[in-house]
Amino acid sequence: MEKTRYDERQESQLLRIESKGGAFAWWGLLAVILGQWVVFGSDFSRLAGELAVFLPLSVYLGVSSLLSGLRDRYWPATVRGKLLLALLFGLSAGGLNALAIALHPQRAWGRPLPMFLTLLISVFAFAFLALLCLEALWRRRRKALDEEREEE
Amino acid sequence: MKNLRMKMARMQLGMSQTELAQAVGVTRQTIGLIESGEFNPSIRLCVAICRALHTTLNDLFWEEEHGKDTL
Repeated sequence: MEKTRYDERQESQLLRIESKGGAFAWWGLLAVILGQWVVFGSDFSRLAGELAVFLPLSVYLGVSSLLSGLRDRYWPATVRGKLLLALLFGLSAGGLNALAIALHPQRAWGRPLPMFLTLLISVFAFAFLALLCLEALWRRRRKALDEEREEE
Repeated sequence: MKNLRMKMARMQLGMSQTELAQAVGVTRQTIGLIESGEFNPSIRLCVAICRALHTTLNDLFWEEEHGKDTL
């Protein structure tokens, strides 16, 4: 354990502050990225700075949770749950893209309805497959952790 | 829930919160929050507090459930 000048209450308080700070940073970056893309019509090259922080942060959070066997805090690990979550991703991506096109018709992003349908279907399919793969990994990791703990 | 038993044990020994905090290696505020029931200490800290107050975990931290057998 790292040497610290704080006692356990101060450490847990600091963890709560850091946790809220991390959540604020993640949601804040997501809002900034979506706002710039949808409202201001920025393309992704202009969002490189935000994405350079947001993507590694997301990967870190996802991989750390997976390695610790954490996955289903709020969302149930069922096929229906995954279908709903993938649909939510698809609708969000399609809807936001359609809105961006409607707000910035001069940008060559295609027409709103076909792009909405394309993104809805492709993001839904990709997200569902990704969630299936992640759950398989999560189950394997959880089993390994359980067996590890039983041996102790 | 306030931990009055801990407060009583400390006062019986004539210790202040600051002295108990120094004995177990935490801040005075932490002792205050444990006594007022606003912070749940780890079992390690509970044991350290019991040792400093010459008492046991049962005496300070065990709570009987009314109308139910415990354990």
